[in-house]
Amino acid sequence: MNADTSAQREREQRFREIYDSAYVDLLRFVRRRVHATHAEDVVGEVMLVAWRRLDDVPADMSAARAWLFGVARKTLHNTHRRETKHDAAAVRLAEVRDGLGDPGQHPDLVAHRVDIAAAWPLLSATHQEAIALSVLDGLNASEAATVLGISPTAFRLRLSRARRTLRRHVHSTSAGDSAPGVFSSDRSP
Amino acid sequence: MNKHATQAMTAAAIRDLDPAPAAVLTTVERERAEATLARILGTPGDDQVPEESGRPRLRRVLVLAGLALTGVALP
Repeated sequence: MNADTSAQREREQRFREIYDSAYVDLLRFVRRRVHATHAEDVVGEVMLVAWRRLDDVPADMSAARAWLFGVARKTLHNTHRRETKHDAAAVRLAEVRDGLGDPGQHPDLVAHRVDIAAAWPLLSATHQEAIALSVLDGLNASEAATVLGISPTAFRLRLSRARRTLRRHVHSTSAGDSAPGVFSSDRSP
Repeated sequence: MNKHATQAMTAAAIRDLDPAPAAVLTTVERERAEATLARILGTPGDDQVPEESGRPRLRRVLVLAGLALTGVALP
């Protein structure tokens, strides 16, 4: 009986540690993919899965975070499929606010941000996801691969293609504008 | 500009457009998170849910088999 109680306490302690250290990152992960009003509910669902399958959650915290992101992704896909009959769960970016550039920022970066915001919706959800996992969620190839359920090599390939496609879209959406220097090499014939 | 510089600038631009920038939880959000944690801890984990023994399933199979036989026997 005492052993049961002790095991239960250890289990709760471990889950609390995971919950406390991953909650904010998981919330941000979900907020990039669904409306903020639903995000906390999704996080609650994911954490419930983690609690029920605690033995499956990796001991290493980075790996545990990737595991949670993977569960969140599946949860979002299931919801998305029910609502729209599509498989993809796109990653959204914030809108660029006209005339509200940071005065301290380099003009090239400001212009590039506008280009990225215009090109981003042209990317497939798969490519958005690959870039977001790397840039916004800060995962390495191995962790991102865990989230997507593919190999690290396959993820690197996907990310490379996604970056290339984004560059192409930036080029096409900003063609004719005064091009920011950052893509001058892509624009040359 | 080389490829790495281009990628770094693109990454910076994407981070600037992050719809969920790094932030600490508000008091209300923290309270909701705590409430969710308490609710989750109140539910049993998979290893705590007693597994259904094979007997009820066997009983159901026997009952169904019995009904099927009765159905065959009765006109």
